[in-house]
This record gives sequence, C-alpha cells and structure tokens, in this order.
Amino acid sequence: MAELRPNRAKEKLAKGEIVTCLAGVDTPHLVDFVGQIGVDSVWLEAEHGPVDFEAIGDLSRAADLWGMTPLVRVGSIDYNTIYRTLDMGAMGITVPHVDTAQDARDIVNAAKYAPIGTRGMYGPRQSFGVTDYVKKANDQTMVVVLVEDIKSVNNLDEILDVEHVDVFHVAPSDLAQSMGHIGNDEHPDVQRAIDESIAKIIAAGKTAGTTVGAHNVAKFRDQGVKFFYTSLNGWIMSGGYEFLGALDG
Amino acid sequence: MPEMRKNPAKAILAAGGVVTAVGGVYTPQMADFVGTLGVEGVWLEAEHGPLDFADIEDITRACDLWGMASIVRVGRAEANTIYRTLDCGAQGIVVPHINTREEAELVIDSAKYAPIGSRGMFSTRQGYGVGDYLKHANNETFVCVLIEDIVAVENLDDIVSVDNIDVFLVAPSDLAQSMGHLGDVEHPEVQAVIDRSIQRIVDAGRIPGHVGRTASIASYIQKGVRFFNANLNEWVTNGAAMYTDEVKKGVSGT
Repeated sequence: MAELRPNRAKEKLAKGEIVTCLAGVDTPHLVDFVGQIGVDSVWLEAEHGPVDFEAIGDLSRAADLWGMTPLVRVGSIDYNTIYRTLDMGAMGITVPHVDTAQDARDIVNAAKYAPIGTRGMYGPRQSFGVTDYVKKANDQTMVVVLVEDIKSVNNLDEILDVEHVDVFHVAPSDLAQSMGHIGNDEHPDVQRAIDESIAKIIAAGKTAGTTVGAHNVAKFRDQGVKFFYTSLNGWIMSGGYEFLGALDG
Repeated sequence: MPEMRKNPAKAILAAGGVVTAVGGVYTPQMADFVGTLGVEGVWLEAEHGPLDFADIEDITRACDLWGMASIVRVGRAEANTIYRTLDCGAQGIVVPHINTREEAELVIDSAKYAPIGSRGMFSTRQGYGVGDYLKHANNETFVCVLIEDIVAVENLDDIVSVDNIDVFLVAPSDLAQSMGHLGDVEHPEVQAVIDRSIQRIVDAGRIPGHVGRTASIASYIQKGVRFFNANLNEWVTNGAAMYTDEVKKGVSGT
C-alpha cells in the first residue's frame, strides 16, 4: 500500500517557507524538464490555457515524479469543475475572481471532503493504492483564491475569515482592469491596492501570494509574500535576449 | 541533483528474483492503476500494439511513479528505433525475432553507450537533472531478446554468448509457427523445444524468460525462468470469471 503523496507547496507554507510556482508549462514534457530546476509547484492553466481534464493525469504525474505540487487554475467557481480537477490528479486548485466570502466558502466546499466540505466521492488518481484516502486527502489538498477585482479587495476582510484557504493570491492584471487601469499594472493606485491587500492578508495571519518576475520578486519577499507565481515565458525571454545579446556583443 | 532512477527489473534479476512485466497496458492511466498491484514491470507494445514514440513519455512516467520497470517491445532490431525508445523514457527494450549473434550484437550496440555500444547521444528524459547520466545509463538499461524462431533455437549457443543481454525470452507462438505448428503452442515438439531452450539458457548461466500465464507460471519458475511477460487481458478475464461465478451462485441461491 502506498502512502498519500505529500503536497510540497502546502507543507512548506505550513512551515512558513517560501513556495515558487511556475506557469507556462502546460505539456508533460515541459513539466518533467523543469522538475530538475527545483521549483516547488507548477501552475497548470485551465482558466485561459489548454489544460483539459484529460490532460491533467499526464501533467500531474510528471509533476509528482519530481515532488512538485501540481496546481490547476480552474475557470470558474463551479462545484463539479473543482473536484473533477482534483480527481484527475491535481493536488490543489487556484480559483479566479473570488470576490466574496461566499465565493471562497463554495470553493472550500467543493475541494474538501466532509466534515469540511462535500467534495464528490470517487476513486481519484492520487488515491490509487492509498488506504483511507478520503480521510487524509483534505490535509494534502491546497486551495488558492485569487484576489483580482476591486470588489474582492473591498471584501477582503470577510474573504480572509474563510477557513481552509491556503493562499490569498493578489493578481495584478485583472485588478488593474477592474480599477479602470487596463494594461497598467504599475499605476500607483493599483500598486497601492496590491501592497495594502498583501499587508492585510499577512496581518490576518494568512498566507499572501502574488504574481512576480525576477525584477520584483525580492520586493514582495521583503513584504512577507510566501507564494510566488512566475511564468516560464519570462525565463525563456530572458534567456533568449541573453543569447542574442551575446551574439551581438 | 537527483540520482539516476534505478531499474527495478535489473535490480531484482541481479538479486536472483523473479520479474513480471505485464502487457496489455495501453494508457498512462492504466499504468498508474496497475502500479497498485505490485508487479515489477510493464510491457508496452510497439511491435504489434498501438504504442507510438509520442506515447512513451507519459506512460513511462506513470511507471516511474510506482517504481515499475517500463519495458517497450520494439518492432525490430533497428538502431534508431531502439535508442529513440530509450530516449523517450523507457527503462528497457524487448526485441523480437533475434535469430543470430549479429542481430543480438546490434541490439546491444544500439541500447548501450560506449564503451559497450554506440547508442546515439541526446539528453534523454531519464537523464534530466542526473549529473553523470552517461556513466549510469548502461547499468539501468534492460535488454531482452526474443527467441521465437526455430533458427534462433539452432543458433542459441551463439546468441546466449552475447554479453549485456539481461533476458533471453523464449516466446511460444511465433516459435510454433516457425516449426510448422501455427496456433498450436501445446504441440509436444514445440513444448520440447521450449523446455530444451530454457535449459540451454540456464546452462549458459544466463536468464531465461517466458510468457507468464497463471496456470503454468509456477512450473516455469521451477525450470529456472525468472522473467515473465504476463497479460493483463488474462487477469481481467480471470477476474471477470470469478465475478460471473458469484453472480450465478447468487441467482441460484447456492
């Protein structure tokens, strides 16, 4: 009999450690390759990207091989979507546009078995060979909610009261759009809303996440952010520019 | 830096144990589930079955997760086919219709890096993050050749003298066909050749393989066979028969 696979990201956060999460790796081959780099988790994209339910098995197996936590961003706060994503092998979900405490409670309800929630019963991939899976699964299932609308920022106190959310992730692009500053994440009003939200999350004793690149990760680390989303595309562009620059130099 | 992933089939054979590689596993989801059963390996079918190169990564990752050896039967003794199969993530290959020493040597040359062979150089999936992959890869690459033509039986002394082959698997169906007994693997002449071939492989100090069927596997272990190609379809059929019998009992009230 196998043990339930541990969730590296969730365990590190529980110890107060920083967790890196790499997006833009939506094929199993890429997930397997980036395993050697040492990131803690991968962000598989089903809100905007190509990750269908059928793809989750292969993608999450590649992540499991390296002990990276496979997280899937689902498209909506939908009961079946959330637990089907977990049933296919994701060890956590990230959920966009969580604007109210009720939104957050609906997510936890879908992602967790009783007594916390009412996740639908099935034999999920992560349960293969694990006895008492349904009694252990909640402890290894990670929930990330995205704070990315001004409405969410305004409701943050009540959202933060919801238990069993691992990360409150402040995402800049949609937030900027919702504040009338589409495409201008750097606008002072947007940046202030981000900083204040992060401070509020940490003050509530919760874990803050945000979306970063190499240029600003240190700043947010110093603010106390523990969960960092970054994109492989940024790394490819850096490496590509470096290569072409070396050619020119 | 991670260590090179161990090949459980090679480790168990080296320790004197018995390895079963179960065939009839065609999807990563199935391989993942079969991992719960405790078999040592999965036999993936690219001589007769649907396994393409593009399928190998996902299905071998599922095997790796459970510590099952992923063994692909390739279509023929051809260098690129053999090392591409390994490059995509297989931990071993099975090569059909090996009838001469030269064919067996070609298999080894294709599957092993220098100094043993000349396997093509590439950054393989099993090498990700492994610092000294090229020094360990040969040790973890399983090679099985199929003795399945009467000409192979005639050349068996030559073939079993080739080094770095883990298993010489005596396969009955093609052997029977090559002996003029198509579809009749139980023919006494075929059975006699199988038993004699297994004994010759054992006598040469090498490891014989055979098909693993529930009804006969214990007797073949007694004959010295230590590698078996089992068949998931047989297991499903047996399980279904047990189930159906219970239904009949329930209906008849016995």
